[in-house]
Amino acid sequence: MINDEQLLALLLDDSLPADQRRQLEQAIAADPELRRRLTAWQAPLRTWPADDSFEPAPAAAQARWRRALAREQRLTASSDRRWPQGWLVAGLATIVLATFALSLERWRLPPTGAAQQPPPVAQDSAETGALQRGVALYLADTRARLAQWPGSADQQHDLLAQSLAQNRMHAAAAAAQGDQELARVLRAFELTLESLQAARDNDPAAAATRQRLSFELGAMQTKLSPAASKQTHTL
Amino acid sequence: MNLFARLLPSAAATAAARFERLISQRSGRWYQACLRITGDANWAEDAVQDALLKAWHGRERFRGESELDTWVHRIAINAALDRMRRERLRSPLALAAESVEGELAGAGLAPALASDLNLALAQLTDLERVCFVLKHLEQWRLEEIAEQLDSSLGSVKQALFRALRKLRDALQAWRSPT
Repeated sequence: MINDEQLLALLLDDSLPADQRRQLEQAIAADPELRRRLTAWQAPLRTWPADDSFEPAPAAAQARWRRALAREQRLTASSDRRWPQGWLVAGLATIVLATFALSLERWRLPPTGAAQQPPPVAQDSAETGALQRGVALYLADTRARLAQWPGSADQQHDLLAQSLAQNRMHAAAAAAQGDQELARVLRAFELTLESLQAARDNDPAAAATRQRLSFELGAMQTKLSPAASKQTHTL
Repeated sequence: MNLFARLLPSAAATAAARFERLISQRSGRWYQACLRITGDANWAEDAVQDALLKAWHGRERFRGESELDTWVHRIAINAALDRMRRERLRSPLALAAESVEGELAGAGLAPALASDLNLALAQLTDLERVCFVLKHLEQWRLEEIAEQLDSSLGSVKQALFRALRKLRDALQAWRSPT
């Protein structure tokens, strides 16, 4: 005797074993009363409109989504615009510091040793030191900004967009100088910053992510400090 | 200006145009699915917005509008389900038929039927309604539903069966003669 539970399973249970399904279908095909009961269960399912029939979303909702997307588009555009400028600044800063380091080395050499050249490593060290100091400053600045998290959504998005642009610049500079470890860590920060940018303003998970990011930035700052001071000493 | 910087604006503009078309043509379906799940217009709007912003940040991944549409639809539903989970402690859902009439049921229906469908959904518990919407209207598999709701397959089946019993009773008047 087939009960209603079994008929419902036939209609709704996609995990029903094939042999059970076949048995049910055969029993229904042979019994008009079962067919009538099955049709009665199918009725409420048939009442629902087809998948492709839907009304447009309310105009106010569509307007809200367009505004939110437009804001994201502006922020993306502004951070993308800043990226090449940041590269230019980083490149110029590196050249200036490298030139300064080379001049300093030459100045320190005795005049009689004209044949002597400054060791090539000095330039690399100067560049690396400058990069690490730059990153340390960026980390401290970002931590301070996160600590003073602004109230308005626009300010929050601006802050994150600026931090993202700086982060990308430093990651690219680190990669260019062969410091793959630093570049990798900075790229990890980039992902966190992007997830914060995508999160809703009042999302409690976003607050926890900010705290974690701040902690990680602090840890990275600490890790960079001795290296930076060592480089300064070398210079 | 380097090549990368020159390419970006046009890529962003193309993506923006694609999003604009999708909002015009498909957002009604995303919104309707989220509304059926949450029973709350504001939550449904939030869910769609979350999905759109996530899609915007990952826009390079989508090859065409169809893929983007499917992805936004799925992420919006997930966002709606997340919202439901976060709000689980609130009182049982009371869907106000007059506030969502027409939107919930879909286009092309007689107003009386749309109203009855809304009322029928309103009689279900959150779990029953979500299971019914995901299974019957969104065509999810039972396993997927159970996984998404952190529930057992048995619980989902039972919720679905209860939902269908209630809907059958509520929609008795619309039963087609057999």
